[in-house]
Amino acid sequence: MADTTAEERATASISDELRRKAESRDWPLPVVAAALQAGVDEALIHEALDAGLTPAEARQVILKRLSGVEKLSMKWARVDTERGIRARPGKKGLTIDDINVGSYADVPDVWPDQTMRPRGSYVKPGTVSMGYTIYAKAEVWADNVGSLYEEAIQRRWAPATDIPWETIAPLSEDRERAMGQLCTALCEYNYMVILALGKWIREVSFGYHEVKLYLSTVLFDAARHFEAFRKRALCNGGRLGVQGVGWQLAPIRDALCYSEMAALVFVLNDSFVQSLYQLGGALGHNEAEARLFTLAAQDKARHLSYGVEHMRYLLEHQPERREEVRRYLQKGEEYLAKDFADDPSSREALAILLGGGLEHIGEGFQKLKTFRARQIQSYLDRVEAAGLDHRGTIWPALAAHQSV
Amino acid sequence: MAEFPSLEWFEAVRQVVNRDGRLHRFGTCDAVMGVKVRDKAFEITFDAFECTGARNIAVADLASTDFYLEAPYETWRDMIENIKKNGAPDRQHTLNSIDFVDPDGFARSDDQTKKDKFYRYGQTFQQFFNASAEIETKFVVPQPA
Repeated sequence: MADTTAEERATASISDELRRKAESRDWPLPVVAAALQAGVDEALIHEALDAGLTPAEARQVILKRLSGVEKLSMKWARVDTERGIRARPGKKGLTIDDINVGSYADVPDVWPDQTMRPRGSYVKPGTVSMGYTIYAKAEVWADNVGSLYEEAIQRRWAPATDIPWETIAPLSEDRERAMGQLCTALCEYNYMVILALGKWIREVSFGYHEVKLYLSTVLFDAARHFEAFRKRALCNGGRLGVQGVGWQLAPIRDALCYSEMAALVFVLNDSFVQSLYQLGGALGHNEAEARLFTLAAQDKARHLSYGVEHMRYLLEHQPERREEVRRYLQKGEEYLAKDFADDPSSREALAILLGGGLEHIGEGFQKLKTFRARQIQSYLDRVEAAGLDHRGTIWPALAAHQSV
Repeated sequence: MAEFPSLEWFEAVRQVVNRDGRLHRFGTCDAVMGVKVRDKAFEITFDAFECTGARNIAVADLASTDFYLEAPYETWRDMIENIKKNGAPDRQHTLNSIDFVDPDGFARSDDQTKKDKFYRYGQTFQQFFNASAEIETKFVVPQPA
């Protein structure tokens, strides 16, 4: 009979199953044996192994247990959440949609929890409410929201370094003022988006974390656009212009439900702002302006994609709200048309830019008519894509801009 | 030397744009772009960080792309020659500018949300056509005298 070493004697009490698991995780068997001898339940050691404790962490925890510094509970490792999840990265890396596996992919129509519990984690009784007000999936969801979040992260840009500011060159005073006025209006709009989303993000319950994450990127995009257009206004010997009348911002500020805000921002107003970004990119006086507006247009198109998909989801799942949504759009259209009518600053600045200078402003106004008609056409096409035929119900004062 | 328009030309551009992973820095792009030049149609597919395919399609099949680019042959030729001359287009020859000045738009689709991919991934598509500066192009229709 072979002599047994002290270590072999100490570890002889470890069951075969526990021994195999410990060895597969590179846990030193003497540590496991010490834990058993200290009275740690074998099931708890299994839990610690399954939870992924490293050998070093295991040694630390068990030594504490042996020294009496800390009682080992491990209750946290026994909660009834789905285990063994092994999400795999795809061509885009490990995305937020890739980790929606098994029960973690279950996004309920109504989220029952008022706490900030992450979806799929264990409910801890007695946790206080966070005061969210949105618990219905249809109110915020869009099927593409996870991929849009990833896209926003992947396609980010930095105004300070991604815009070739060195290509900015002096412009005639009229065109510089017009550009400054356009930038002022865009700063104002983006600031409103920041305020609106800041208010609404906190209302969305944690069951829809993809929406919360995505809205955070939109908020950051709006901050980036605010920053970028303010930089453009102040980098070429020009200045900021006059504050707008701001009719279009009032209903966004006053929206009483999320879907109203989303229709106003992500479908109506973003549609018109998207066109302005395209205009800025096409009429850019230099490479910096062309790049700035084109990059902003990429972001804005992403915002529109969420807006349209959200509206489509809402109308499919709560069709009884169709006329309500239409009314939100009409309200926004009414105020937007008031801006067009009452605010000469944007109108005249755009005419100068479109015409190519103050001396061609008449031609610019003609082009502005065509531009407005195209803005409205694109907007109505997006509403239609969302599942709402709105061509005959668009607010009349805005519809009047359809004719060239 | 690849003839424009031809599958050989689009395939050559695709090879260039994928060669050094240059699309990666623009971020992910999932889109099927159609191209219509005269009576020919092509489908260019973008998936994640690369251009994954180019193929001939029937003109009628352009409807199944996310959007398609259509312009007179002269517009295509001007754009490609301008890109070749400068390595990148000047401001009048970007995809965005051509789309803006054309009353019917350069990018077309029956579905506005699909058409919006043209704007959403604009830098990626521009980079694709910019890669044409690195190949030699022969135009099937000669420049008018």
